[in-house]
Amino acid sequence: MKRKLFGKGWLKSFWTMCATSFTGVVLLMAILKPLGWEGYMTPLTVWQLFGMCATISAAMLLWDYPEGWLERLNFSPNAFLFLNPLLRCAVVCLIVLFEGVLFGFYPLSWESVIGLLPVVVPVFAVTYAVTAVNSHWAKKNAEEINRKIMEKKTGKRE
Amino acid sequence: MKLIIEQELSRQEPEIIIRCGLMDERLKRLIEQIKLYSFSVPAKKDGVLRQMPLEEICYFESVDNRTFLYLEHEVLDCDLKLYELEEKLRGTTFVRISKNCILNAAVVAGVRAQLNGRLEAILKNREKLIVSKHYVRGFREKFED
Repeated sequence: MKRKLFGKGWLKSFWTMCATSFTGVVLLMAILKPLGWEGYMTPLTVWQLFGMCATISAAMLLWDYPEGWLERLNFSPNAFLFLNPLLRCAVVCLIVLFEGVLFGFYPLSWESVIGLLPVVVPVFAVTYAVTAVNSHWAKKNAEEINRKIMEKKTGKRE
Repeated sequence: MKLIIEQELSRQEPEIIIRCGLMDERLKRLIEQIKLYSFSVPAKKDGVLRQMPLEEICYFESVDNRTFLYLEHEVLDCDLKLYELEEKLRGTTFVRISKNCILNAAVVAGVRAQLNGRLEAILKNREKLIVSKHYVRGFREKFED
């Protein structure tokens, strides 16, 4: 299930992912602030967060390529079902960690990694689940249509 | 189903009359095919007006308020708007697949799912078009019995 990079719909997918995640992060911060979170937002941090969301969105779209190679490694379907989101989540964590350190949000340490996981993993899991449900239905529809096209071509009914 | 063909040399234009009880899906498909082979759409290329038979048309696309008609290896201008075409092509193999595109389901060679829930239709000339999520149901129905 791979998109053609820079093909039709690439920019739209990128923009949808980036805008959704950026809105989610900003809202999360607005919710956390009254709950005692000590971080503060400046125009610079808003741009930095936007950059982070854009990098993650681009990485998720580019991940289609290694995903294609993984598919060819003959993992069992169940193993692939767990391995793929796990690797995607690891990519997201790495980007958040390194860009956070780069922007001075936190120091590069194991404590930072542990502190990030409770935020990044649930947000990733929800986003991934929504995408997976969408793609599951699209896959079912595609299989059904391809079956009908084959039936018409061969004149045989399955 | 009974098929009666009456040939009269004096007749100017062929006429098809279908007499049936309850119309089933197979009959609907047959009517779609008849419409596909009996209707045409006016289109222009280099100022020359041509009547394009529906079965030769791959898809219609609207770009900057202009409608283009795509054949296998040719693009023509069409004066009709997409909503007018949608109305005119009702009950044929043509189906709306996005805000700016009407596709002939008969030229679809295969379909691929995309991560965002949309479909990618691969045409017989290897061209690829995106089916928006909103239009997936209508598109799928064109392939059902």
